[in-house]
Amino acid sequence: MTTWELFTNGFGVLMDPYTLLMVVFAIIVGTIFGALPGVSATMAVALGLPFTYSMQPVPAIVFLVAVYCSSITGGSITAILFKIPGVPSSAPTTFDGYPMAQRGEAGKALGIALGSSAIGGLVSALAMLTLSPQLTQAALSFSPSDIFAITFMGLSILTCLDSKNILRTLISGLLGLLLACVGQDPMYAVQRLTFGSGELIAGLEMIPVLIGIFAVTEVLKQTKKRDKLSAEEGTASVNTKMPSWKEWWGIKWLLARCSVIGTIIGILPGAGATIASFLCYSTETKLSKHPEKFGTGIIDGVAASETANNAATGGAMVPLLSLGIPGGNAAAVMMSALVLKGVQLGPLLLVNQPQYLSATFASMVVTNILMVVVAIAIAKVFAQILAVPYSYLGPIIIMLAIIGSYATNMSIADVKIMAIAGVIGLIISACHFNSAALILGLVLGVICEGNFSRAYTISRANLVNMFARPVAGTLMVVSLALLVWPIVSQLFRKNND
Amino acid sequence: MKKILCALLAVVLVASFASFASAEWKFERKVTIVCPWGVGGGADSTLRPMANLLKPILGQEVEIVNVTGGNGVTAVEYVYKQPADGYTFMLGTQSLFMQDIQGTTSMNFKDEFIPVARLVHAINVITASKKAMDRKGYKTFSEMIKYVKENPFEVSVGMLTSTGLDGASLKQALEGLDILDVSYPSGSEMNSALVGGHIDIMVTGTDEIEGLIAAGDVVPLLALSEKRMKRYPDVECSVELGINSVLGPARGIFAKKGTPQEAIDVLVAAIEKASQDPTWQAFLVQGCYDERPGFAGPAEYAADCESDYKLLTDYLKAEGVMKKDYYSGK
Amino acid sequence: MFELICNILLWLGLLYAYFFNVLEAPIPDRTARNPYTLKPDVWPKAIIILLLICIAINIINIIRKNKNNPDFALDALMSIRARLVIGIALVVGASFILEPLGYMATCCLVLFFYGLLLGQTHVIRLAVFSVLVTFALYIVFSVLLSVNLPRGTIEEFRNFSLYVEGIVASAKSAIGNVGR
Repeated sequence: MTTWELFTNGFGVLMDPYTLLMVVFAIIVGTIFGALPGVSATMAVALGLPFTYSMQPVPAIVFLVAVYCSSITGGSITAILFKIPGVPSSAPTTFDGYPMAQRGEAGKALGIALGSSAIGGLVSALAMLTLSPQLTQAALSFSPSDIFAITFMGLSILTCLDSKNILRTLISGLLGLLLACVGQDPMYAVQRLTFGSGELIAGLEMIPVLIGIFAVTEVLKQTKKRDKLSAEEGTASVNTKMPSWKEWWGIKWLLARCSVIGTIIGILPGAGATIASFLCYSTETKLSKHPEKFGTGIIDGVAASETANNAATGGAMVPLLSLGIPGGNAAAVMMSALVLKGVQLGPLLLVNQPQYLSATFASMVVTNILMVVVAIAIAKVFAQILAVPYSYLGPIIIMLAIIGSYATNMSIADVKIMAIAGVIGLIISACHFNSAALILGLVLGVICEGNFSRAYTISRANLVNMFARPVAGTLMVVSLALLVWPIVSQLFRKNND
Repeated sequence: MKKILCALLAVVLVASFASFASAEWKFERKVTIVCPWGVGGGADSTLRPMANLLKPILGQEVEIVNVTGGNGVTAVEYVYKQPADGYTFMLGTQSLFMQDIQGTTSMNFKDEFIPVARLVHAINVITASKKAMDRKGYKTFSEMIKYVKENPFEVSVGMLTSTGLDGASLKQALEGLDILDVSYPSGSEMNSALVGGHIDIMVTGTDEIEGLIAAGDVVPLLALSEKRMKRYPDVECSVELGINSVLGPARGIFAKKGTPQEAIDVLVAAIEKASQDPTWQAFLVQGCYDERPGFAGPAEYAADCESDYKLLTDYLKAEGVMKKDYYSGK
Repeated sequence: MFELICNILLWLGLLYAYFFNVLEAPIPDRTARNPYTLKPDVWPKAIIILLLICIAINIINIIRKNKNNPDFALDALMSIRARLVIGIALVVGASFILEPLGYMATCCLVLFFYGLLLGQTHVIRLAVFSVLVTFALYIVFSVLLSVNLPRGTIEEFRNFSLYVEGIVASAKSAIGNVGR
């Protein structure tokens, strides 16, 4: 089948009014699931599974893809409005989205988030349709040392997150990496750094730590500030003014870059949307002409994170359809649903049953376009909540944080971790450490150590051989330069003084 | 005559009582089955179709709760905290036994949980990467062994955590050979590394890689089983080569000790009935679980668990990571 | 001062962890024998060493910067407010009572007391609000999203949760019947 045939075939599937209706339903459900803390994209897709039991395989995948894409987008709504990332991949969206909402620019932030989500999703869907075989081969050629180099580069960008405070940012990032080591180590299941606590054997889940450090710390800070007078007021006036065309045009290259990076990261098994959005956020900080503005509430930050995490959705579908290897957890759920329906995923799918590729593609395109309309309506409803007095809203946020961290794993230990993370978040800001860097370390820690360890064994403990590959070598040189340069330049500046 | 009558009466009484007892239990609210691994994984995708089939038989919702983390320990602790009222069960595999023997669970899993029924029993297969095979020039399992002997620490073997079941079955199959162990956190990362030729061979179940085998990117070398697999009749099996390694992941339902026996009986009967269902049979074929008998009742499953416990204790003892020795007295 | 204390405590804690907690279980024999594996203690130890160096420099920086600052010794306690301490106690406390009391009671208590802390003066309105929101969240997460919220381990609380679940289940089946 040619690409054009795939294209028309896919939209043919969606012309069926029943299927189209299911897509709209999936978008509504997916966006709301995504917006609720503790319901990750994986859980959203799993919750969507029962609906597909009675469906034919093609509408089933169309439905699940729509839930998946829209839940990743929905996460940005609560991230911007309440600083609670609805899905982990929206965590970097809080860095700039929340300050914007606090300034009363919630509408603009949401508009940017939803629009750039759609763009990222569309670009990656196109890449999936046209370049699937090539992308698959590229993904397969990534060895553990290449993947390590990619994550290491993500870490080395740490130094740019806060250029005035490099040392403290470094400490925060390293602390995050260390926290990622807690629990049974991923390679040999040896316990590390649990201090004898049985509750830490499973390690620190990302979601409770994220919710604690972002949402709970924020409520505690507000608690410190507030007195009786302001208790009856809402947090911010909700302005639903949308971003202008000029603002969109200003971030066109950012959107392009993040779409490409997001798609590539999404393809790599073990990486996924969360890592994609963190990497793009930090890369854009590095490339920006005004890096100091990141984190204070600019549209670039929101756009970078949201473009990347939606681009990763398309990426995750590539190895799923062409190899039968899911690129992430949500893709794994879809795979189990399709296998139950008797679809034989794998290299032969594109030859024998190309309609799945085309249906997935068409579903992603339609979802990403319709999503903007549907999600803005949902976001407007959510935004009304901001007008609720903080003495009501604050406690609800605390409760959502508790439920959100519990729901991931039915684990009381996670709730305790979330509460402690909330307190640690306060200490971090009192010590001028950087919570974004800490989270980046935590997110990348496991994949970084695991791939280093694997690469080390495969190259038989030879570090030179390990990085004597084009991708790994180049990236390592770049990252070392990134790491060393700001430190050296600071030293020179000091000597000149 | 009187005696016979008495005996007869007694038999009738006992029989009626027994039937009364088993019919007495009726699930009154939803039943929860805890799955220690994530949605979409092998364990989860075995449990979900079974839960769907159990629903109409039990007349109640059967809910799957995924409690992941700590290689299954989090789930064990979660179920242990629930009351043993017959409404909470869990899925278990040999991985939980290994965590227990290594002392990561706070209680003795072996004493506190009872095997209820086995759902599936898969076969582990040693598969090779086509790319790596072409590079290194071996084509069969024996040629691969010869290659490893000539080139120690040249062949890398992928598995999911080396102190897991894969590690144990690998150690049995490749006893005494110098290989490079490479652990992966998920099957998908390992599979793509194998297809990409970054690792040479791996040990896994066949369910997730059937498509890759069909496409020729992954080549099965050896089935760790008593007889050859139906799907791959040309692939040698371990027993015919004289290798004593038949460990394969068995997934079954466990209950906390103290769970009412009547509830267990009803559940076992329901699982047995569901196992006959054509939907389940079709699932077994799709998931490559039809090579070994799947369903096993409490007695048979308990005996299997016992022998696996013994075997894994020996393995972990040899690795120097055993903490609980259930067999020290014997 | 607060920052300095935190940094010093962190440094000491890391030093302790370096010696006693990096590995808490033996390494499998086969791994230990294989010359080409990265032992599981190497990575965390490397990170701890880097951290010890960085934090030491940070401590020196803080001391150097505040050498001539007379307020430095005082600000440790100044920045901590009673309100904040109560807030922290409420959040941490909630995470500990969640298991024994279950979702229902915990949620009501948190909403009520945190509302008071944030300056809400209408006590009755707040109490009604707490109960309503507790049920609203219950419906969203437990009924619609089938998240198993904790039932509580204390008998009375557990029975209450089961009672509510029973009502929900019969309501669901009633709706199902009407739908048919």
